[in-house]
Amino acid sequence: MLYIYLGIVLLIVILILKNMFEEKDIFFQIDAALVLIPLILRLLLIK
Amino acid sequence: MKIEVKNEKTSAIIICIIAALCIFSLSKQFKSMLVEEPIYPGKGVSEIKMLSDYFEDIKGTPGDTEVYVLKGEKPGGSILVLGGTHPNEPSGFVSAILLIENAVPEQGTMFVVPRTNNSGFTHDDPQEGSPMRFTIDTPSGERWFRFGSRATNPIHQWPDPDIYVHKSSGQKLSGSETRNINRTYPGRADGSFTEKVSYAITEMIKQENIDITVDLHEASPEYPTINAIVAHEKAMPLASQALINMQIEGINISLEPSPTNLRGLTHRELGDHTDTLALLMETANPSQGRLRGKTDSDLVVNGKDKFYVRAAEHGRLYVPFDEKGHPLSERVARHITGVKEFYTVFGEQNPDKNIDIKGIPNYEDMINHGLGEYLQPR
Repeated sequence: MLYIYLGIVLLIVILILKNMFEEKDIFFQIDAALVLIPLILRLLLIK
Repeated sequence: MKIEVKNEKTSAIIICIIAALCIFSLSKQFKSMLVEEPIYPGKGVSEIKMLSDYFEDIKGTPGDTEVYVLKGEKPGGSILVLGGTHPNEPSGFVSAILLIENAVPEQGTMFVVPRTNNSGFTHDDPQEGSPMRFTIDTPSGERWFRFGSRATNPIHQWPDPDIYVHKSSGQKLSGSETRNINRTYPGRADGSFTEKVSYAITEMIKQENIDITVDLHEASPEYPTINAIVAHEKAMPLASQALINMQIEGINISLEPSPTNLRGLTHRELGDHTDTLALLMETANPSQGRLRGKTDSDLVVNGKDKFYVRAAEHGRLYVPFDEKGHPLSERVARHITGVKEFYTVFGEQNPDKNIDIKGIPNYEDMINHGLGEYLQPR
């Protein structure tokens, strides 16, 4: 179960990153970064 | 507002670098919670076991934790003290450490588990603004202790179900309670990470034939079960006499029967599934309450909060609360006195299983001198 959820987190991280690099509005890019931080911390099993 | 950038890839890279720096900095902070605070075993400690000695499945996992055995020369009864069931309730944890560092049994055996939910000490609760650590002054300097979470670290048990079902009773609770060790007793050998730890505690009680189990907790001042002993029906004669003795000493404390329909808790399941006399104690901890103000090490240790003083004036609390607050020294003194009364009364009721332990400070000394006097090294 853990690895399925980590897989889902990884997929969301990739989609957010893709969106971040295509987005022209800097506020949306900053929003994306704020979402990425907790997701990456969970992906690395730190928090 | 919208600000469009000419080169979105460059700005994205810059923002990613800033995010990476944040992740690096946060990682260091979160990982610092993995470092255990030192505990200095006193001369009464005869052996340090691991919880996995009673259930091998948890060996090498973050659920495995030390079991301090303090054995007297003369045979007698046995008592288990569980601290750190909820690592955001520090008086239980500090009481357990104080016993490890001071108690010297002459008759009978005391088992102490200071970090019952070891995983809960490795993180803190999001959005609570709690300090990660608190400190107590001792004659030889500051001692630091972690202020953890009520529940197992989700890194060690994740994801939570929408609804947590306590297997042996079918009781349904919110999903996050699946990581609350005090909702998982008697535990399951093939259950979740938290259920395996509670199973190991149950196994320890069975394998060591422990006569009394005391689980040390704290509650918010606005919570009704507070400054109280909760006892399984088998432990009621013991708890009643201990309560009277504590009241004679001037300690205001109440006694509540363990509800038969509230499942998964130590005072219910350990009493039902083992021969131990299961008891739980609660003290008043303003640092975990909903009405608190600034939440820092000072609030944890000194227990003073002006918002709780106002709440008490409006009759919203279940404990008296004035400018003196409820310092950790008072809360630990209550727990320690309760433990002493439990084994003393048990010995009176069962003379063949007497427990005699020296070195434990009395209530007045802890209140007057503070905890630092009784914490090693000194």
